[in-house]
Amino acid sequence: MANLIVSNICNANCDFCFASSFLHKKMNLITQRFMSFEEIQFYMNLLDQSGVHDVRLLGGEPTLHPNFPEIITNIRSHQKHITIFTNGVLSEKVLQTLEDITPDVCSIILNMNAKILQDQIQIREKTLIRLGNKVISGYTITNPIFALDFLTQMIMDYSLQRVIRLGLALPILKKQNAALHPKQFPAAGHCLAEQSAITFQKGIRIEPDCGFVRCMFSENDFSILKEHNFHYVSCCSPVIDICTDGQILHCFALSEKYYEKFDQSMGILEIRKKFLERTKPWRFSGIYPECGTCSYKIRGECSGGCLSMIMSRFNPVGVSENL
Amino acid sequence: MEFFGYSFSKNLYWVNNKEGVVVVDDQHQRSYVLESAESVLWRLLINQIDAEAIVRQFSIIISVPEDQIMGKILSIIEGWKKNGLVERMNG
Repeated sequence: MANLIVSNICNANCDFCFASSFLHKKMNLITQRFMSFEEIQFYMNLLDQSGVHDVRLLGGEPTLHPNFPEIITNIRSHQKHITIFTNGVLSEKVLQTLEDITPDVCSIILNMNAKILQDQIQIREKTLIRLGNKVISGYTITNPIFALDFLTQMIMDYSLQRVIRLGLALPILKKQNAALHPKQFPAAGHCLAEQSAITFQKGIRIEPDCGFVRCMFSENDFSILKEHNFHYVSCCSPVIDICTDGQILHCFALSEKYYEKFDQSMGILEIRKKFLERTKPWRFSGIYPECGTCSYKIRGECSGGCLSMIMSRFNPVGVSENL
Repeated sequence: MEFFGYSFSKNLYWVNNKEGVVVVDDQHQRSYVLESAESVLWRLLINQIDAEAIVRQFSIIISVPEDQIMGKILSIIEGWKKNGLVERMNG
């Protein structure tokens, strides 16, 4: 799996956005707003050679790319599965492109708590009506107390896929995006257990994104979640971000520290391996002081949480660089 | 930061964990969990109190008489040197 960051711009303004800091910096440094078609072609060939079959299109807002329909056609010609991360404010041209694709070829993950304007909400509604069961709802927990009933209702009203891809608002290292604090995780875990009853009743499955930790759920909450078909995973494993101008990132959250200029001598999998080696010493710890001795972590049931959150706990000694 | 003729190496990061102080050597991509007495000494050194106070405090905390404590300190620092966490100061 690899992420192609095809657009450096976005038409939403989410406080929790992982990409905002990196993309704003890029916008100040370069003029290239979109990945060129030639670059995309080059990376598709590279992904072919590396045996990567899943391509995820991100931004910014990837559908703002002026050649978006051609990009989809091109990736499909490489027989790859496509996942599009979007805020749902789609142009007619993009909508028509996506209407013609079946869910087994392309997944559309729509950020349901994107901060968009009133007129954009109407455009997004059109997207939901027309794409319907092609859409997977994405939701980012930004507050430990949250409600999924509105989302459940939207899934039912628009006949969206009965899945919620649930993320946690996580920090960008050294930046100030809106993120949950680890101390808020247990409250969020409890709230999720409560909310899972609502989604379960409607046959909606909740799938967690990265950053979840096992101890954010009490034993009681965890068994409730299991009963409600919550597919718990705790991971912090990079899906490489391939950006315009040949920059490769570990992930947006660590974009200030772990990035590489693409080197022809290395394949995508080698670059990923290199990132994993460089981040390995930090993974020994976790987001809490107790993580190193935690039985969940020792047994491999918990990764210790988001690496950006882990690294934020550390203090530099003397003269240090990078972090 | 100088102490007992040594200084910390570059690109080190540390955190207080339940099991003790964890140090990451970012340059060499290694991490170390310091033992109990090492963790105490590390915290004292990081807080940059003067050498005499470090010796006195360390002696009290780990219950080793003051006439033996310098040997203990230097053996810990020597271990850190072997792992590249500290360097001997020149001159």
